[in-house]
Amino acid sequence: MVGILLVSVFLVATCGLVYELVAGALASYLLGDSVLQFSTIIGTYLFAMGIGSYGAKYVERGLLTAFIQVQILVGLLGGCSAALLFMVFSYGSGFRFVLYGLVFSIGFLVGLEIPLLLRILKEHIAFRDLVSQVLALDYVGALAASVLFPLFLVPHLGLIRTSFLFGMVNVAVAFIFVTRFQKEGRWSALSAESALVFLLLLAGFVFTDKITRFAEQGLYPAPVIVSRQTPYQKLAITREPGETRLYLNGNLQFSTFDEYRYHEALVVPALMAHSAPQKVLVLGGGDGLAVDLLLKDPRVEEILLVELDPVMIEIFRDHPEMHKLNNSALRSPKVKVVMADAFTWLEQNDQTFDLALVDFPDPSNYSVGKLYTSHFYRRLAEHLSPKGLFVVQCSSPLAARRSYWSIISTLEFSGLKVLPYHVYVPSFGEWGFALASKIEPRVQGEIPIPTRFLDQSEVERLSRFPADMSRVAAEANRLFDQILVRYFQEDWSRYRGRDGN
Amino acid sequence: MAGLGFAGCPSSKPSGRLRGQRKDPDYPQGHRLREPDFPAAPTRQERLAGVILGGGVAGLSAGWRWTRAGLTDYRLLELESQVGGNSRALTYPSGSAPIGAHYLPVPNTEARAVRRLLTEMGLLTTEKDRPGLDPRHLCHSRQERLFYEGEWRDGLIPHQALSEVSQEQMARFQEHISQWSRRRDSKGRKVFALPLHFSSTEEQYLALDRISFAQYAKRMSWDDPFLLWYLNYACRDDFGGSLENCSAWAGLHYFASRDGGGLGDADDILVWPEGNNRLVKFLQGEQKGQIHPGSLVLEVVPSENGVTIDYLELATGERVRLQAEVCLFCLPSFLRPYLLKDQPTLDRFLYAPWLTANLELTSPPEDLEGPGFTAWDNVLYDSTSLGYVVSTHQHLTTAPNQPTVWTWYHPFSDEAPEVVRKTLLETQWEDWSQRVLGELEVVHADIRERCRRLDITVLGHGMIRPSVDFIWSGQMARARRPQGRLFFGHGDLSGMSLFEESQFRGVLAAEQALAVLGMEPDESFL
Ligand SMILES: Cc1cc2nc3c(=O)[nH]c(=O)nc-3n(C[C@H](O)[C@H](O)[C@H](O)COP(=O)(O)OP(=O)(O)OC[C@H]3O[C@@H](n4cnc5c(N)ncnc54)[C@H](O)[C@@H]3O)c2cc1C
Repeated sequence: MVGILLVSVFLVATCGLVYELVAGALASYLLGDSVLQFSTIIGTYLFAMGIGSYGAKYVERGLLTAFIQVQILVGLLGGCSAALLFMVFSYGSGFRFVLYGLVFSIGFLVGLEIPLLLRILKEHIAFRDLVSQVLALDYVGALAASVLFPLFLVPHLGLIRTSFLFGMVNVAVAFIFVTRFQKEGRWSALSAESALVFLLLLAGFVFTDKITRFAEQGLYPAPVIVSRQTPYQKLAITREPGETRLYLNGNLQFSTFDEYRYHEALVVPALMAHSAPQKVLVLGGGDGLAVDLLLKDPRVEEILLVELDPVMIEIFRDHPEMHKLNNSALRSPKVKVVMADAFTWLEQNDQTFDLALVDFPDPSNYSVGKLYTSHFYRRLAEHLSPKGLFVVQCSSPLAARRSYWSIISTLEFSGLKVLPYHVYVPSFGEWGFALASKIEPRVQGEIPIPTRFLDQSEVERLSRFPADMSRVAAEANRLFDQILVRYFQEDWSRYRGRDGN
Repeated sequence: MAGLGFAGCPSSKPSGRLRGQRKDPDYPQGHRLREPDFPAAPTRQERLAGVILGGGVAGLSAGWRWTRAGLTDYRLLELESQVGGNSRALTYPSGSAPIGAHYLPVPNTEARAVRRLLTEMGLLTTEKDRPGLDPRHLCHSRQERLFYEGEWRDGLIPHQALSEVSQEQMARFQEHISQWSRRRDSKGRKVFALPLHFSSTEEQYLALDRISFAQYAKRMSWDDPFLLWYLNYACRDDFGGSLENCSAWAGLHYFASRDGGGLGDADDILVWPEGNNRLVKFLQGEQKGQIHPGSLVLEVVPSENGVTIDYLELATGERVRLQAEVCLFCLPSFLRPYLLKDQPTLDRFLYAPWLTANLELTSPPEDLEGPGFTAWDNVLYDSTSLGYVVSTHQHLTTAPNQPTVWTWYHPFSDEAPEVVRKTLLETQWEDWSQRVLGELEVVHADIRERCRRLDITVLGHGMIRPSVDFIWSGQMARARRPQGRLFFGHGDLSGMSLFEESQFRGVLAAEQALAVLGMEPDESFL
């Protein structure tokens, strides 16, 4: 009897700390700033435990039943906590409220456990031994949890499965208590209850894949904090300490680790090539990162962002966390957002702009490929003011060399003067861009905005192409002959296949 | 009958939601001509300068020609509630889709009327002396793909997947064709022109019309199965015929006549969501007042000084008589015995039945290549159908999940046409819709879930078939001959079913009539 009780102390302690760690880790993933998250969560949790311990004195009779009920409840709440929090973050609102509510409830219940156990055990063990043994096991359990958690649990099971697993441990403890210590009569109700909760958690554990596929965990190297199937694409944002990434249809769009290199390269030369870029058009780029940079230039008065997918805007403008990534750029009064398909929008509107940023997904199929055709560039050029220019992201001149130069050829074929350039972005590799205009684009003058990467000499280097990226013959891409899609497929499959996979 | 085989088709459980209809031409009315039960005497008589019978491409082009010549005192009689004939379209929430004609090849230089039409429509413009077509309407990439040996392949010829023998024969064939398309006769004429009227009439070439395409293939030692499939596919696609029952002249014409006319490559085509109905709509534009839909032509009596036409006004049931100075017969020639007395023999006019299906899809179904790879024309190798054409292909939107309408094509190229026609009229919508879905399911697993509506159109006399010894035969020459002041202008008088040919025949009839009326134009459109 005593043995079982002491083992329970150990298990219960381990579970309690695991829930705390899950909540802390999850909050740091989702909200960033892990020091803050861990501190506030540990604080809340310990405080709640205190209240729980104090509250234990109000439990007067039926100690055993109370303890079993608490176990089942901790198992249920703690076990489902990770899944619940991910869901709320991805699909619901009031994430922080749910987070701290959950942490507090679990802390409170866990706080109840030890006093109750002590009182149950005191009939069997001398008080002096009791306190030492229980507290010692409690701390050992905590150690077990804190070692297992980062080394085994997170890497092998992930947060969601881990919490389901420990939820089951809690419930298993409850079940053992029911079968061992309960007198006839109440037995069936409690055992049925624990069995039910156990099955629920087991189902959660087994179907974690389904749950996570729902939130697209597992397909990505870091935990997914936002996952949406929009009418247009599969969108996922992952976060680990220090790095947030956006994936569209499984392709990396940016990583906060080095997106500034990409976006500075997209925005700064264009700003330098125009003497007074007042009206700017941004096509694609609903993440608002380019817009953020544009807003830093006081000459820019108006930005029109044309984005196909309302969910992008919902996330990068309206989501309580994500809008911070672009410094709330999309909420600026200078920025107007239009939900439309870029090509159709160009066909149907005749506004003109000093500058246009073209940041579309790569031309990997015939549908997106239309946005890289001479017809598109001609249309776009019609929307430029006399000295206006636009910049295009053009895939990699190293990995997809022919594709890159085909885009350059397409711009030239469209009757434009082109300035090709490239930049190194660790997440992507060598990346290519082009400035295009009816007049020769010239990048000159001061760097107009504060930058982390580009300076005068770096800007000069951008347009130099080393031998392995220099121009190759490639045909222009046209609506009725999208050679680019074929180039792109061939280039990338050769690039990926270079080390035999 | 093997090819019909719907009795034994895999009929999976009909999905509860699927709706659809038969969108056939008005056969019940048309078939009344066989056993006339109409009022014997007209209740109304009218006099007009001209009457055009039939509002297909031929009839509408004739009217277009007359309007351009300043002749507006005419009436165009069309049986259906809408003009267009085989170039009709159906309307769906996401846009229109063709029931038949769906593309126009980039016109050759000799296709002057086509070029004029495209210029009027603003699709063909001349900048700095260089004519060019509006790229929005040239078929975007990808134009075609072929489902061959378990995979979609780019284009109609899966070069990489072909055996060496196939590749070698294919190359030989293509070289052979390019020789034909370059060749000129002693008078400098193309051997195969489009409209075919401008082709060489030298005997050595016309002799090709008296053997079948299969015989020609044999003569050339083209025996590779893939090449033979490809040639047969072309015959089915353009003629509703086969290697065996189309003439070598027609088969070679298909491959060698198109040259892009300096506007594009030989295989460039113009397409619209609603198919050639785009052209119909334009032609229709300025003759709204003249077009009388719901008019069943009953009797045509030509004479030296005019033509008397009786028609049934379906809305009122009245028999109306028109006295016209000239009349253009732009109805299919097989109707002549029912409408006209003493007609020449027309036993070589064979028409291939077609069945088409329009599938309204909530979004494109799963695709083995992933989203964004659907072609305009998606062909299944070794299928009795020709695959499907995507109506929204030219949309500039890049969103991959837009609702769309597909048109699925099935010619009856081998079977005896009369037998097929009879069976087709009796088959139910359910059988065919299941058969269409069953075939498409192989390449698009969730097609049933995506398909909201499926309409079936049976075109019993869909296409005139360029059989052996037909186009250049004496029978054809006789059929084209005017009878008094009645001129014949349906596309079947070319012997092959193409927009260029229907337009040519319609305009030709219109100009012949103008001459009789003393309104001979300064310049022919042809
Ligand atoms: C499935 C299919 C696909 C095709 N695809 C193409 C294509 O992609 N490109 C292409 O160029 N061509 C295509 N064609 C060929 C097409 O037939 C021609 O392009 C053209 O539309 C034919 O026009 P028409 O005026 O000669 O004949 P029709 O279209 O046959 O016109 C005859 C008209 O007469 C009317 N009519 C019949 N009887 C009576 C009556 N008693 N009284 C009054 N009116 C009557 C009919 O309703 C019809 O409107 C296709 C044909 C079919 C069947």
